Amino acid sequence: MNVFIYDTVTDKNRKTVRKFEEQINKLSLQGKIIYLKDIKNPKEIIEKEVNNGAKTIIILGNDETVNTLVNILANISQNIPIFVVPIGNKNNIANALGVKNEKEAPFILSARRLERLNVGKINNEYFISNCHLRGSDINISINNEFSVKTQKNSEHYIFNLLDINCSTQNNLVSPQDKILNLVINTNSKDKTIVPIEGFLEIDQQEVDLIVDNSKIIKSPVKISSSEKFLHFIVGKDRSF
Amino acid sequence: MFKKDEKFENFNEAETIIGESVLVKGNFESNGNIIINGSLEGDIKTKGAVLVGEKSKINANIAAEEMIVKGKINGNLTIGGYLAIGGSAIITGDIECSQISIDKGAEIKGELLVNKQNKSKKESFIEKEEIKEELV
Repeated sequence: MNVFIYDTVTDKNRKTVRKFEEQINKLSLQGKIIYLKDIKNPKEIIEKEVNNGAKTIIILGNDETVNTLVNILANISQNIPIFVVPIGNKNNIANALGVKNEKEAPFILSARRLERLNVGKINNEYFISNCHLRGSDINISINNEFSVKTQKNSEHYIFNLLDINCSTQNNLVSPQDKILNLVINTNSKDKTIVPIEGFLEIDQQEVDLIVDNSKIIKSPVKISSSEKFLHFIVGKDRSF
Repeated sequence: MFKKDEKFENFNEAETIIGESVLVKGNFESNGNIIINGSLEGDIKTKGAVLVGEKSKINANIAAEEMIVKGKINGNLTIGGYLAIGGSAIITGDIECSQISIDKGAEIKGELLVNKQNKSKKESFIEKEEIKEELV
C-alpha cells in the first residue's frame, strides 16, 4: 500500500494536488492519505504504517517537509522507499532527485527506479541535501587535520546531494559515496571544492546554517556523512 | 594524470580545488588531482597531480605524482614523475623528481635532483613496453 503524506503546503496548492491525484488514480497508485497538520506524533503514525506493510512513503510538500520526514524516516528501523512530489516553492531536493513537477511525478513513481542515498548529519539531526552558510572569515576545521578559511565574503555549501541550481564544475557530487563536498563560491571564477571523508566542524559562534534550504541551525556544528541511508524513487534527470 | 603542459591548462579532473580567496592550514592528503589558486600552509600529499596557479602562495612541502608550478612555493617538492615549472614560478626549497621542464623566468632557490629512478611503477611499465616494441 502507498502512504501519501500531505504537508500543510498542499492546502495552498489544491489545484496542483488535484491534478497529481487524478493522474495517480489513472495509474492505479492510490493509497492512504495522512495530513501532517492533523497528527501530533508523525513518527509514531508513520512507523505504524510501515509496520502495517506500507510499500512506499510519498511525500507531498517542499524541502522543509522532506527534511522533517528524513529525520523521522532515518530513525525508523525498516527502510521503506520514499518518493517526493514537489508542491509549492523551494523544491530543490525533489528537483535534485529528478522530480521537476507534480505532472511528471506519477510517472516517475510508477517507474519506481530506486537509489540508495546516504544521509548527512549535523549535530544530532539529519539532512539529505546540503548545509548553506554565508560570510567571510569563517573557519572550517576538517577531520582535525586541516582548516579552510575564506578571506572574502563567500557562499559556503556542504553538499551531500547536489542542489540542481549549484555548479561544482566537472566534479561529481554523489549522495551514495559517504563523501560530503565543501563548496565555497566567492565569485564565478573563484571556487573552492574539497571532498570530505569524515567530518567538519565550525566552532565560531553566531554562524547560521540553513539546512536542506529550510531549517536554521546555529554554530557550533559538527557535520558528517552518517551510516544511515534511505531509498528514494528517482527520476532520470537527478543530479547524481 | 598528465604528460604534457597542455593538459595542465585543461585540468578539469581535479578532485580538490583551492580558490584564490581561501587559506588552507594543516596537513592535507588526497588520492586525486589538486588545483591550488589560493594560500596554503602545511603539507600536501597526493597520489594524483598538483597544479599550483599563478596567484597561489604556498608554505608547504608537497609530495605528488606529477606537478606544475606557476606560483610561489616555500617548501620541498617530492614528485614521483614529471614536474613542470612555469616562467612565473618562484620556488624556495629542494626539488626531487624524475623528469623536469623549466620555463624561462622561473626562480628556484634550493637543491634540484632529477633522478629517473624515481619514476613511478606505471611509468616504468610503460617504458618497458615501449622498449619491447622497439625490439620487435
